[in-house]
Amino acid sequence: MELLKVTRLTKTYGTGPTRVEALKDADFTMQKSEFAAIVGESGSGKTTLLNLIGALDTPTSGQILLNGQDIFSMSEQERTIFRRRSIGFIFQSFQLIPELTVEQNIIFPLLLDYQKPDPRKVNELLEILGLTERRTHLPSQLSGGQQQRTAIGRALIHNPMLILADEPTGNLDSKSSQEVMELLTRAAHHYRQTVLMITHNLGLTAYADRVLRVSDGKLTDLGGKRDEKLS
Amino acid sequence: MKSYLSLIPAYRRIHKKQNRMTLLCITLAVFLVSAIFGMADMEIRSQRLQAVKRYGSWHIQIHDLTEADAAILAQRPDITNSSWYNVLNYRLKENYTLGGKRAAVCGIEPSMLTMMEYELTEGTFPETDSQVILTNSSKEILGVSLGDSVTLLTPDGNSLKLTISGFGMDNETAMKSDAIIAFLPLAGFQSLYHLVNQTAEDADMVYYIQFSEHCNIRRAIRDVREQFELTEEQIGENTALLGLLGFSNDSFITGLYLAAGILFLLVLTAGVLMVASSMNSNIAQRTEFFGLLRCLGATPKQIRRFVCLEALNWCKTAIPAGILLSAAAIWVLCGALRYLSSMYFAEMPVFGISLPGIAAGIIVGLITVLLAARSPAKRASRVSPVTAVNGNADMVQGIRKAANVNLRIEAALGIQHALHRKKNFLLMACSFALSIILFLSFYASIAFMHHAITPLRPYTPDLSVVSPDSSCSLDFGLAAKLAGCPGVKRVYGRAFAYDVPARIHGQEQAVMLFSYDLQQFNWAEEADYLLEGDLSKMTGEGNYVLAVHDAGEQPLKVGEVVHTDLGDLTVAGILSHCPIDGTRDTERFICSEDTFRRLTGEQGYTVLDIQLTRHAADEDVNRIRSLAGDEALFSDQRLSNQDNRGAFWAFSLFLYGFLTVIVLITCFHIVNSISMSASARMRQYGAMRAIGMSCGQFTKMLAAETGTYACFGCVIGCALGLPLHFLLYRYLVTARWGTPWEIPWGALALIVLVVLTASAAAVFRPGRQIRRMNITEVIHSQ
Repeated sequence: MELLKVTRLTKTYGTGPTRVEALKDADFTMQKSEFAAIVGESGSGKTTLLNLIGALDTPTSGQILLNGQDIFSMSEQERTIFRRRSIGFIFQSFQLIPELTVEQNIIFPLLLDYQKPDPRKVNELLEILGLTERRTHLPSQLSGGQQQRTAIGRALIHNPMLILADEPTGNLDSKSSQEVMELLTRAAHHYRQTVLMITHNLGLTAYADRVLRVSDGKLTDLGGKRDEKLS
Repeated sequence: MKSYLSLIPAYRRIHKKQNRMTLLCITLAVFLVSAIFGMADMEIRSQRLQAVKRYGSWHIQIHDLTEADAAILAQRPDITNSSWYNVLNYRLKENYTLGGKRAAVCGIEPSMLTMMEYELTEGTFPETDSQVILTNSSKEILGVSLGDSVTLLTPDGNSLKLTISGFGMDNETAMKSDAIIAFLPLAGFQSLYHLVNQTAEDADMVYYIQFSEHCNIRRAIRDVREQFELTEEQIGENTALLGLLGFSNDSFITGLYLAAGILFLLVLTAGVLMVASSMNSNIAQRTEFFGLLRCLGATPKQIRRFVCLEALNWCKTAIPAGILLSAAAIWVLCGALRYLSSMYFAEMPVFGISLPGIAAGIIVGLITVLLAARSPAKRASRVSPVTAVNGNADMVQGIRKAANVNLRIEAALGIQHALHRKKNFLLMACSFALSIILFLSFYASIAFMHHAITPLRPYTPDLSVVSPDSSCSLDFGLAAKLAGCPGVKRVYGRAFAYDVPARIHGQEQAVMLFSYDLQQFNWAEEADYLLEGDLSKMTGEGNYVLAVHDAGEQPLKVGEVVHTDLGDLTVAGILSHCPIDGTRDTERFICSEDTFRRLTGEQGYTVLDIQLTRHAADEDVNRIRSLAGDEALFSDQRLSNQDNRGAFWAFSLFLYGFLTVIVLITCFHIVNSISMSASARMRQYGAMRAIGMSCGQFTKMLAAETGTYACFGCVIGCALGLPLHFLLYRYLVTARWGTPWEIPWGALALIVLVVLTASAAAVFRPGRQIRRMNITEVIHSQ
């Protein structure tokens, strides 16, 4: 079942001599429960693509359909609520709310929706993420790996249609990176989530079902699983 | 770049927007201090002008000084002017007349004219004993000119022929009393004294002294007293002028200084808090930048130096801007002052520069900025280099307690944002509170003004018809006749019984009893002059009287009975004000007209006061004068009322000016602080927006944060502001006039409303910023 459809997506910054084409006519689709990785050099346009899919930025042209809905035909308010309910974000620098505990950070998107969290689901998620012991801790009391696991929990809490992960291991050491990736894949499979992840680390593409490459703003679908030799 | 500190101007050029708010804050703090000091300086200047015009520029008067001592005294280098002085018929009660008009006769030396700021409009100072200076109005009243002779008649019928050598300014008091003032040289005055008293002994003269303004007058007075072994009773002081020069010993003036000192400290604290909270927010926005500097090898000391120098750099723009703003505000006030009361303030410069105001602005601005920069500088120096590397600046801010998510999430986060950093919270709440404290404290001076200079008392007349011998000789029916004249708004009379023997607290003394009509009792009630007691008893039977508040050791109390030769009087109430100034030893009692007639048997009035309509013309006044007849004394107070009104407005202008500055700064400061606080969290807000927080939820979150500061600020402000208002009120008002303190509900409601409105308005700007925010840029910004 097709969940995401990106059609002729273009994003340009600036005008005249300073004009930069960050993304050129990108086309691709993603099926439900698929785990895709986007690789590419720094400045190639992969983060721009992720921001556009996440409705954080608006494209110069092109269309993004998420579950058949054109996310850019919505008003700002509708897009915010759509983002809150349908997309989960995992950032390189975690972006946890420092005033909230681990558990509160995880249920934060539900609280924004004025929903009452299901304690069983929260406990289960904490269990899967290995954060049960840390549920009352503040972000400042956690290691980098634990903070990113909390961010994964926050992205998973309301079963979004799509999880977007921007270099989720970029701020972590190799041991924590591996832990986080294993957790992300395990949780994604457990909750049958669709994940689109940006990474510099080609080794991490082993966790993905499919790899896309962005180079100078152009997107290429590299197909099935990649290993380091493919680069 | 010569040193790492050269980064400051470079950084400033690029981050103009970020620095704008801090610059604005320092500018406002300097404006606050400079404007208030400048206004106070101008106010003192205007008060000095008024004091000199009213009381003269002399500093002390010495009684019973020998001529030899006076001659030695005059040689002192710290004395600029000195003169002998005495006056006959000061109260115009004795029958000294010049051409049939009542006259007061002063004996002076030429330097006395300087000390009294008295200008001769024509002629010169008398050169012989038989020459005299008269007030200008005598030219019309007596139809005389320079060189003419006039005859001064003494009460016992002796006459003295005098030649007019000059004319001088009219005196307000003389005008009020329809009298003339004659100035004689010392020898001429002594001749008159000999004639009046049929003695060869000279009159006891009082020696007036004006010290040099550059000497320590208080020390000079002490020195004179010790040198000539004078008692305290021998020395009288020009309290008003000495008070304004800062040399008064009067306990009331000392209270005023104390109040001014408290207000000074408050303004200083307000400045420091404003700048400190804005700099704290500024530093919080740049935690990663300081982390980067640390990462590149900057020591904590270098970071501290960086922050302090940066703050001083801001001063280069902010201090002149604040001073220029305050100068403009002062010019507007001075212009208004000259317009409102040209008689008193003609000498005030329109474009007056207040050097103390500017100096206070610069010094306090610099000290404030340096003091305020200490804490953020320390904070910046403590930033870990790791902050720059991991990009999680928010994590290192030492949050110890999680938000309470039982509330709605936006409210919970807003409250948590306000409360989680205690120091920041205290700074913000205190700066909100300080606005209230400052406002309430300055508001006490409004009450002082209403008590100290109020020409607009309901009973202030425009004209008065007075019995020539202070008896009840004015016909009862005259009041109705006068009331029927065109231009008359109302007429109200009082009958007086002076020097009534009485026994109060076991002591024999003479008291004054006078009557009020219904209108005057109503005024006493409407204007809240009744400190305690009940006015309803005054219109009934019984010898009930109202006493006038006396701050003496044994003030009269309600219910007390005063035994007088007219009968026993029961005190039914205490008034704070009445139209008659009392002397220290004479109690004043007010009764109804019926009671007065019953007690004294008198049927007429002593004084008939007249208030005119706004459009009353001079012809109307002339008609009233002729109706009053030649027998009665006529007093025209329109001019002095107009001028007193001007002085009142002038004082109001400064005090309301202070309050306006405080209110404006409160609004600016609150809006600015919230905006800066939001700017410091912009990256976190970006992440929240990405996760799905809507703009409406943001506005609510900011409103919750601002509301928390505002609520705590209001509570702290009221908790500290009200006691301070009470304290200042006691020093400024209760100590002098006895008016008890009451919670200033109106002022309190106004300033709390201003704080809450400004807080509500403060949410809009960051809300708009967040709506326009580029989320991706904010999240990825360093």
